Amino acid sequence: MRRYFQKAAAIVFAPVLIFLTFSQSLEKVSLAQNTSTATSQNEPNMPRKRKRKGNQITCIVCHTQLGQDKAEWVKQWQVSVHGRNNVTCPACHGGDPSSFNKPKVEGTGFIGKPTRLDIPELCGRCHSNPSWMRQYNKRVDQLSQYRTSKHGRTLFEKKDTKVAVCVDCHGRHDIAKVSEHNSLANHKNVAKTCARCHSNPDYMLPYGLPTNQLKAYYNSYHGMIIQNKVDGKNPSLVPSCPDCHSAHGAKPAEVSEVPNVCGNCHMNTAKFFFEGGHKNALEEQNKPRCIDCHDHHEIRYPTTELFAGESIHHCGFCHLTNSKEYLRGIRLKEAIENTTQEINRTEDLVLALQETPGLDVMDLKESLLEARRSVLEAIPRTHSLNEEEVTKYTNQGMAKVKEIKRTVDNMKEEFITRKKGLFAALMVIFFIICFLLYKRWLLELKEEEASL
Amino acid sequence: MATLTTTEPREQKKIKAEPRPKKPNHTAGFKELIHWFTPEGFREDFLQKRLGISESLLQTIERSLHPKKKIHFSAYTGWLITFLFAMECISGVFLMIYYHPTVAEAFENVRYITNIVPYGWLIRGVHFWGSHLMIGLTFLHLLQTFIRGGYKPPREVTWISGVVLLILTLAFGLTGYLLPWNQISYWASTVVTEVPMAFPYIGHYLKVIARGGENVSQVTLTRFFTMHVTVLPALTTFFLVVHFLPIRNYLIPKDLITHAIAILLCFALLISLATLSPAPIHEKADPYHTPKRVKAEWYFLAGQEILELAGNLEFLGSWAPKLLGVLFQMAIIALLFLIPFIDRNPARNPKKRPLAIALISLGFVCFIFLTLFAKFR
Repeated sequence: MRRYFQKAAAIVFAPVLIFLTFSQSLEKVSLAQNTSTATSQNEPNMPRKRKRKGNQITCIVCHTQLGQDKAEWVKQWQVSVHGRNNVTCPACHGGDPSSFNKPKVEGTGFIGKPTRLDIPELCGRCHSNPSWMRQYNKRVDQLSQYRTSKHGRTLFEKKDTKVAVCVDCHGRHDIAKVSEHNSLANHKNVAKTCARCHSNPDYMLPYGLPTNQLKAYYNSYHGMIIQNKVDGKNPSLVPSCPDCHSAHGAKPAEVSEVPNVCGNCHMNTAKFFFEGGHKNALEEQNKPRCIDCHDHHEIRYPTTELFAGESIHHCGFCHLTNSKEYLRGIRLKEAIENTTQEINRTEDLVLALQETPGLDVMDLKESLLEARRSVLEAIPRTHSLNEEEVTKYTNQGMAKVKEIKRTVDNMKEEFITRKKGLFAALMVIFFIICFLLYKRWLLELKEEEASL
Repeated sequence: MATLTTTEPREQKKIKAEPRPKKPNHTAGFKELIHWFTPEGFREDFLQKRLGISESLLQTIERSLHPKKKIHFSAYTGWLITFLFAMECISGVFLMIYYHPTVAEAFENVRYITNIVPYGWLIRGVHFWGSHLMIGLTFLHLLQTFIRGGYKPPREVTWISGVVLLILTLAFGLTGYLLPWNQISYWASTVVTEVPMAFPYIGHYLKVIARGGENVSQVTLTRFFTMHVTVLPALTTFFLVVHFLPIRNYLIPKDLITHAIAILLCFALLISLATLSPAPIHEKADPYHTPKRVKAEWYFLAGQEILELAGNLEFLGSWAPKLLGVLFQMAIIALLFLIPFIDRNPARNPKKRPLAIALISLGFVCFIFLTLFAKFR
C-alpha cells in the first residue's frame, strides 16, 4: 500500500518538478539568447571592446539567479538605453563574460563597481568619443564641460566624491534617454533630480549653499508652467535648472553673464537692456542684473509693480523716490497701465456686444489683439529706459482702442437703426392689414345685402 | 419752264387727295394689357386666346375636389409654407450672388454678406428664420391635416406629395445647414452623415456617397450646395404643383384677403426675427477641434435622440442597436406614406377616429419630448 502511495506521489509530483526546472532553464536561455542577439551586432570600438566566445553573457545568468537587487539590475539594464543599444556589462564593469570560469579573472580588465571618482572618465570613454557617438548623433562635450563645472572641479581638484557625477543625474543601470519621461535628467524631472542634493540641508551644509531653490522655482512663473498650472503654456518651453546653470558644466552664472543667460530666451528684452543705461551701470557697479528686479529662482510674472509699488524690487530699491530715474519709472508704469486698463475696458464692451447674436465681433477681437500686441511691444522696451520708444507703442495701442470703441458705438447705433426700420416696416404692414380687413368687411356687407 | 410750273400744283393736289393713314392707338394696347389682369380678361383673352387653353380644360382644372365651405386653419399653414418657400427662393438667390461654396471662402462670404453687403443681414436673417419657420409649419401642417383626415380618399396623392415635401424640406435644412461652414454646422453635418454607418456592409459606402469621401470636406460642401440650389428646389416645385392640383377654386376674394393677412403677419414675424435675433455666425469650421457635445438642428434632434437611446441596447450586439434606431425612423416615414391605405375608416371627424388620433398625438408628444430632452440634456 505504501509502495503504491509512493508511486502515485511520484507520478503526480514528477511532472510538476520537471516543468518547474524546465521553465527556469528556459528563462535563463531566453535571457542569454536575448542578450546574445543584442551583443552579436557591432560593439563599441572602445578600449574595453572585446570579442566574446560563445553566444551568452554569463553576468546575466548569474546575476539573475542571485535575485533581489542584483536581478533587478539586469532587468533595469535590459530596458535602459544601453540595453537597447547593445552596450553590455563589460563596457562599464570590464571582465570577460564569455565563460562562467573567467569573468573576473586577472587580465580581463574586470572593474566591478566603478568608484565615483572614476565614473566621469569611464562614461567619457564612449560619450567623449566622436567616432563612436556619431552613429547616435550625440554630443561629445559632456566630460570636457563637466571638468569646468563646479561639480567636476570639486571632484577632480579636491577629490570630493560627494559632488554629483554622471550616475547621480542619469541613473545607473536604468539610464534612459534625456527625452524619455522616466529619465532623471528629463526636462520635467531634472529640477527634482538636482533638488535631491541641493534641497538637502545636511548635504549642502559643508558647501554653505541655500536649499530653497526648488520651492522657490516651483513658486515662480517658470515653475508654475512646468507643473502644468498655467493654461495655454507649453511646459517643454520653460527653463529648468540646466537651462540657466548648464547641465554638465553646471555652475552659478557670473554677474556679467546673467543678461546673456536670460537673453537666451528673452532675446528682445536682452537687446533693449543692452541699449539702455542699465548696461553701463552693470559694467561699472555690477548692478542691476535681471535677477535684481525679477529675482532668480522665484521669478514671478512681471507686473507694473516692478516700477513702483508693492514689489520689493521696484525702481525705488536703487533710486531715490524723488530722483528723475524713479519718476521716469513712474511714467513708464502709467503708460503701460493706462493702455492695458483701456484695452481691458474695451474688451468688456466687445464681449457684451458678442452676446447679441448675429453681431460679428471677430474683427474687433482681432483689433483688440493688435492693441495688446502694441503693449507687448512696449513692455520689453521699458528695459531700454527709452520713454519715447515705449510711449510710441502704448499710443499705438490707445489709437487701436479708440478705433474699436468707435466701431462698437457704430454697431450699437446700427442695431438701433435696424430696430427703427423694423418698427416702420411693421407699421406699414399694420396699415395694409387694416385696409385689407376693411375691404373684407365691405365684402361681407355686400354678401349680407345680396343674401337679403 | 412754264409747263413745269403749271403741272406742279396738280401733282400736289393728287397727293393731298389720298386718305391719311390712321395713327396707331397706343392707349388701346395698354387697355388690352390691363384687361388681362381682370378675371374675365385673364380667362378669355390671356388663357384661351393667347395660350390656347380650351374652355373644357379650364373647367376641368377649376373643378374642385373640395366642397366649398369655410376654409380651415390648416389651409393657412399650407399657404404660409408656400409663401415661406418663395421667400427662401428669393432670399437664396440674393445670398447666392455673394456666396462661393468653397472651404476657403464660404465662411468669409457669410461674414461679408452679414457685415458689408447692404441689408445682407436682413436677407440672411430672412433665409435663416424662414427655413426654421418653414420646417416648423410643415410639421404643424402635417399634424392638422392628419387630425382633419386630410389623407382620406380622394386626397391620397395630396397626402403622399405632402410627405415627400416634408422630406424635401428636411433635406433643404440638412444641405443648407453646412453651407455657412461654421464650427456648429460642420460637426452637426458630420454627425448626420454618420447615420448611414448604421447599415452593416453598405453603411460605409452610403456615408462616402453622402460626403464624397471619408470626411466632411470641400467635396461635401460642393454636393450639398448643388443639391440645395438645384435639385431640391426643382423637386419641391414639382411636388408643390402635385400637392396643389387637387386643391383649387376656393380663392374667393374674401378668403384671398384673409390669406393675404396671414401672409403679411408671417412676413412681419419673419422680419422681426431677422432684425431682433439675427442669424448667428459662430466660429469658422475647424476639422481638428471637435466640440464637447455635437447637436444636430432642432428638427433632427428627436432622430438623433432615438439613435442614442437605441445605442443603449448593448445586449443586441455592436451594430444592431444603431440599425434598429435607423430602421425605426424609416418605418415611421413609411407609415406616413402608407397611412391613406392603412386607415380605411371613412370618417373624417376626429371624434370618430379615436385610435388614429391617439397614435398621432402620442407620436407628436414623443417628438416634442425627445427634442426637448436632447436639447437640454
